[in-house]
Amino acid sequence: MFGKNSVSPVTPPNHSQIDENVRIRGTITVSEPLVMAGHLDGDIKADTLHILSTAIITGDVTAQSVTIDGRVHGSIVADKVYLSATAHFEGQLHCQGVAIDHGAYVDAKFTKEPVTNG
Amino acid sequence: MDKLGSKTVIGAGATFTGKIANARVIEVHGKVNADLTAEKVTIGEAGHFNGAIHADLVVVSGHYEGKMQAGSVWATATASISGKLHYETLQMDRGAALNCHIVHNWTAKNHNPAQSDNDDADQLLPAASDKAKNGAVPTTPEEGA
Repeated sequence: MFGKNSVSPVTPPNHSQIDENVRIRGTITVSEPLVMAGHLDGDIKADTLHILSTAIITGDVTAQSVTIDGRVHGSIVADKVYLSATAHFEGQLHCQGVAIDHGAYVDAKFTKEPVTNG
Repeated sequence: MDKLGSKTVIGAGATFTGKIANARVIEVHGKVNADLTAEKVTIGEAGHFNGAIHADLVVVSGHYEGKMQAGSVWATATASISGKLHYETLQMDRGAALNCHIVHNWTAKNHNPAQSDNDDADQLLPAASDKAKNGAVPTTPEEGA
């Protein structure tokens, strides 16, 4: 149980990731890239944020750049937003630039504004 | 699209507040203020965890404060733990700092101290009262025979 082999070497990674089975209620603030695959009931602040297709986020997202493959209900504040074909987004979008793939579900109010946080 | 390999990582620059459930394997290298249910938890050297943990295996190399209930706990040389620690098996490396209440926590399937204590008490009490009765009334049928 305590053998060295059972525990992977603990090297601090320069990114964060949330697994797809994980259910979270709360706030995540990250000063580095974040890959989100689980369910979140709360807010995210990140540098670069990738919301995978398995992710469901209910809350506010603030980031420099956001790539969305999953579902987001809430507001997004970002410099750059990319909604892929599998994305499902409802809410408000405050961003400088947005790209939306054919097939993405978007029901949102868009506001173009300069954002420097994230 | 990249697969994550069923692992959750709170990176060194991350701060998390809230509640985490259903995480299978989670690594904490940042600051976490949360209640956590998981199978395996690793708190890295730079990690700070504040809150309750329910897990099968917890490897602590960083700072932990809170109430931990774990099957196996490994406090490495750089660990610092305060609060309350319920464990079944515990390994502590030379240098680990434990400033906490440590309780060896038998699981119900292996051993149930509360249950057996009650059983003992139940067995003791009637026996004692029988003795008292017997002492008071020496001529019970069994003792007479």
